[in-house]
Amino acid sequence: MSQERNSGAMAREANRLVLTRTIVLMILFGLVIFAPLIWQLYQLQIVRHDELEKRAVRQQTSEMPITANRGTIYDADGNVLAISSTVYDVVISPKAIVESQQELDKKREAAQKKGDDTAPYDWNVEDVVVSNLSSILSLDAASLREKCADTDSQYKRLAQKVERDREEQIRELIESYDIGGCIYLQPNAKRYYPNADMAAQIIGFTNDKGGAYGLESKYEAQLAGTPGLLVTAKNGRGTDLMNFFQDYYDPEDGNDLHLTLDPTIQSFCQSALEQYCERYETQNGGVILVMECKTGRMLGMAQMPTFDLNNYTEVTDETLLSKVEKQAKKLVEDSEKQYQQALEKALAELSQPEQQEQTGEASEQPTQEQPTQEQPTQEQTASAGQISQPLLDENGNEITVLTYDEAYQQAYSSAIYKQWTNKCITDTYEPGSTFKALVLAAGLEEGVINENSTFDCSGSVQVDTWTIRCSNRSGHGHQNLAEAIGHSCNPALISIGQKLGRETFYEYMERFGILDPTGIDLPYENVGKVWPYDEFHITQLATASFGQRFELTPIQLITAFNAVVNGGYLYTPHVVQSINDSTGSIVYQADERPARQVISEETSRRCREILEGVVSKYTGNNAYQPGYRIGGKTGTAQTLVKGEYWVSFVGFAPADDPDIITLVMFDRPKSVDGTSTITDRGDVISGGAMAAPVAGELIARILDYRGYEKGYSSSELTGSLTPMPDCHGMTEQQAKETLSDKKLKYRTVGSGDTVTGQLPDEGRSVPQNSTVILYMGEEMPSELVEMPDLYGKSPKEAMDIMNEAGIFMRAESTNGYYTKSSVCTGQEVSPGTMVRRGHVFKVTFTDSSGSNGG
Amino acid sequence: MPAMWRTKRDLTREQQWAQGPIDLPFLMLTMLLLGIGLVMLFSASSYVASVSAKTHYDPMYYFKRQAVFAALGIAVMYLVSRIDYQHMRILGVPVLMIAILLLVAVKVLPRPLAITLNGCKRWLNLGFTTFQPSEIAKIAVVIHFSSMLSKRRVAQVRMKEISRHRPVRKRGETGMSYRLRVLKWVSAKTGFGELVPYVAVLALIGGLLMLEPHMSATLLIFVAAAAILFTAGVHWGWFVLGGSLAGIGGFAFIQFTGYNSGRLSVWKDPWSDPRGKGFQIIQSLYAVSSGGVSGLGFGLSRQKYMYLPENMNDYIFAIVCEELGFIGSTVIVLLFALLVLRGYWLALHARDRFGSLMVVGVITLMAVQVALNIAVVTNLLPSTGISLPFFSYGGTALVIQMAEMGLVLAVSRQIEGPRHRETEG
Repeated sequence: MSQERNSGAMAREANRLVLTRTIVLMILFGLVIFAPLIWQLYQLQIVRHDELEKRAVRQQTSEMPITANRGTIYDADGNVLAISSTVYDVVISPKAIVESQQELDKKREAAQKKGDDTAPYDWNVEDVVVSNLSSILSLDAASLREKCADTDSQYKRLAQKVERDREEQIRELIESYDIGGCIYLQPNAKRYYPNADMAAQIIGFTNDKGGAYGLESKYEAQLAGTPGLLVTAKNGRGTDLMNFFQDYYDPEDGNDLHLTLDPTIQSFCQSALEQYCERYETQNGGVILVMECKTGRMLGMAQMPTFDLNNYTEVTDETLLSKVEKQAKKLVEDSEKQYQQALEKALAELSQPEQQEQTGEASEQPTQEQPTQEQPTQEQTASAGQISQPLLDENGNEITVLTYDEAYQQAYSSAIYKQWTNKCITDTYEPGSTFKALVLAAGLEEGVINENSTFDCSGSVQVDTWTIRCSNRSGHGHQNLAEAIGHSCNPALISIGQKLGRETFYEYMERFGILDPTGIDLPYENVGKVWPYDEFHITQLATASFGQRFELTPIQLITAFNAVVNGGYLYTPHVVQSINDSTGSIVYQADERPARQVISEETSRRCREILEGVVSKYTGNNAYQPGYRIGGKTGTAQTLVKGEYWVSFVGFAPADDPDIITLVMFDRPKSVDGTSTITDRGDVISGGAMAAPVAGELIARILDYRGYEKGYSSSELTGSLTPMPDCHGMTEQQAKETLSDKKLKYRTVGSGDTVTGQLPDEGRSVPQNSTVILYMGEEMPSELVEMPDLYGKSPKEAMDIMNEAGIFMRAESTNGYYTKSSVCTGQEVSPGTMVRRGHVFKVTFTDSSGSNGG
Repeated sequence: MPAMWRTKRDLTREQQWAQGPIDLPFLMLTMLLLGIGLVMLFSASSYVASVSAKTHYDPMYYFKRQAVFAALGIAVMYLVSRIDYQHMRILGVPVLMIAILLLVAVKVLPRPLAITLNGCKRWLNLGFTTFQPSEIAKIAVVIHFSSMLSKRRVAQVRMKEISRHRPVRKRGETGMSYRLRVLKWVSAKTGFGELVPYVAVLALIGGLLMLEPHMSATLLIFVAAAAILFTAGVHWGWFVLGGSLAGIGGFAFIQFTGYNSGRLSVWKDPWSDPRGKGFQIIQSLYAVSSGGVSGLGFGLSRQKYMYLPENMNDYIFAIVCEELGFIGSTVIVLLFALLVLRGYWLALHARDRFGSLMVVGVITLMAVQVALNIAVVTNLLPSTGISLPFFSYGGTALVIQMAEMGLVLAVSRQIEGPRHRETEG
């Protein structure tokens, strides 16, 4: 009984145990075990979803990039400077050729069984591909066969950037044989530069990776655009699943650049530069920059040497090519010398006893840059009498004699880099006297000098321990400020520099921006080589005052010079005016506000006046162009090599309110004997003689192109009064010479040999440029002439009408200037009055446009 | 089964019990999972079937076959649920014998009869289909252990009697005899003696399975057997000990077998061997994570396009995750969890201990199999060949799975409901 009860109690106890333990298992396997699974699903599907899905999609899809069209580059007139067009790469798939051959064979068999004509299938795919492509692409058929033999490959590129005509032939071929899988055309882009060498270094070029140089590289992000994408699903074996999904992302075309470069001005610059570089035989080319004074826009940037952008690895400049030849010859000579030396050294070592050689070696080795393991053994073999071993230099490179071709290749490739260099922003040169304009501005602004300051020049000046000579060895003597600048007198400028002092002078250099790059939007801009402040001592101050012993880039100088004359504002030069996207909306506009004001408007005005004087009266006179008010400064600086100079001129116009500023620089004009300052053609090597006339001519053309009217002062229009010489008894030739000395023109009446009469009489003052009348044997008329009506006539017309009548004009103006719009408003003697021939009458002109404008 | 067409009135009480209502929630969950599994198998297998000559390019090929087995499985489940499971007490030993025989057969039979895949000899060929004897072994161990341990009450009493007093050395007794008595006492006190037959059976079956080798089946059987032993009341200390030993053994096994240690490094970082051992798990992870929150949509898996190997067998859940997303896959995990919870609930309410233990065994088997499969698919555990019940392609396994569900339903019929109390009263 107790046993049974006991057993019953135990059974209950056991049942309870089963119950509790089942609950334990229920919690463990029903709940606990699933928790980490859901946590892991959360981790994978939500936390790591993006990361892993991206990887998954990468393997599940094949992507075909669709190239975006590269942006176009336009000049200021909207002409294309650089444009892309689609060309094609020709690719074959040897694998597909084999496959389509098999298919063709099957079709033929089927046709045979049916008893049909097998002719449509009686051709060989590979033969068709090889024979046609080799003729279209002018490729070697054998090498094409070789490519076809790699039947595992699906991609063999045969030709790159095939243009339209050949592309069409290939398309025809594909269509007529229906072999689209075997040959395919992959779109690629080719860049065209319609103007070839115009502003080549500015525009730059592209390579396979995109923009490589110039604006093409600087604005790569803007020009490149975003390539589109065709995404196709594929299965695990790599087969496309066309019906599954396909995504197409449109390519975004690149943005277009609109440059500030004016094609007309650019071509003025380029042609002037080409003409004069040739005439002066400049050994290192030259630069002409034209900038708009009140915006910083670069209107023209020309340089020599230049190159064809469509063929940028080809050197075409003749000077550069002749240099390449010289350089190649020199390289060959050098290598011969080096080889000879090494050979002698090796022979000397050979003749030494073995033991000595070894000790010598031990002591020599530490001094060698790279002691290599092989060297002792090599020398030992050499000691065995085999000089046929290659000779090594101390770096272990073999010394060989260069052949001329090898040397030419070397020289040629360095010439390629040379022609790519943008001299305007990368090469530095000594500005010479052109820099004096900045010193003048600083002096006037600081008040250490004024127009009444005087300077004494004895021809040289002592600074520290150095004697600095003036360009005029005998000295300019006593001179005022305008004369000192006009003479480009070094001692005067040194004294201005000294009055400013080191600190202020250096501060102005900084404020004029010549210690920093200008920030022009072109790649590889250099900054000039100017002393750091702690090396800027009295001597440096003195030489800097007349622009020597330091170097600037042309763009730095023109930017700083512009600040001197445009009212004192430093503008950042730029070549990109605006950028628009492919829909035409503008995404960027150049900021044309000045970076800072360096000198006051008033100081700038005073500088302009003095610099205009430089052109009208002094060293810059060769830039003088009647009718235009031009200011400027010449510069000549010697390079470190004697007889090699940088000659330059910076000019601006109109001088009263500058619109454009230009820098003309010739790099190393060829001197007749290598040391003197005369060229073969007799040109004097100096900024005033070489650069100034080019600049003057250029400025006149640009002003005319930009619609500026010529304006003449009284003396320009009619010249100053000059006494009429006595020409009686002279031959026409003699009379011509006499008159041209007095700047008089003439016309003859009659056909005698000598002058028998003249109008006006001798000794009577007539304005220069007037046309006098010479009577050659004919009777001089004595009757009076009627005064013509000149009202509304221009000065030129009036003068011609009067001279025709045998009377002469003295012009007077209400404002002192005569332009195309000046008209006659008054006459000393009223029209219709009878006057005597040969007399001078006053005519008054008024600028009609000015009076109309109020 | 003659009982089936007799009227209820003529039935014995035992027979009436066996005719009770089956548990509807458990049945519904089973049918739901079976249905979802079948549909997902269709989605996962259609592409591979459509491009394979073996399946005659029929995208429905695998689906159709699986559907036939599902129908067969439902029938088998129903039939098994109609059995009075009390009769199965006597089935324990014979089924176990058959299982052992089959396991031996798969090892010794030559090639066309036994199939080797990936270096593992796990399948017997029945001509129209193949099956794994390990499936039989699982259920055999569950039935055998349940039937043995349901009689434990009596055995335990005897043991308790013995263990009450520490043996004292009797006068004149030999040392040998005394030491034996002490040993017997210790074994009774700790319950060691009781465990010996079970451990022996497990060792035999486990040994045969490891010869195939079939790690995951071994693991499943051991866990299910442990669950039954645990429920039956074996001292918890043994499980701690067994667990620790398994841990140490597993660690040592991993240390000394190249096969597994390679798997291990790939498990830690699948991208260490992306084209080799890591390939499958990487593909699985791609599929799972591509699903995101709401999935790519039914039928829209990308990984099933020949990226994910075994995408309709062991890795079908990855495709489920990809198509149905975090929401869908979590719902399916929760459905499995509910099925398991309902199963244990049935075990708690079973009429007798045999029923309880059998249900615990069957449900634990399934719970561990589901958890292991999902853990492998999500790289929570190193990969091991384990299928997902109701989802993975495999006819015989599905039928046996359904039979096991039938077993649980059979036990559910005999649960004492209000109706039974009425009859009793």
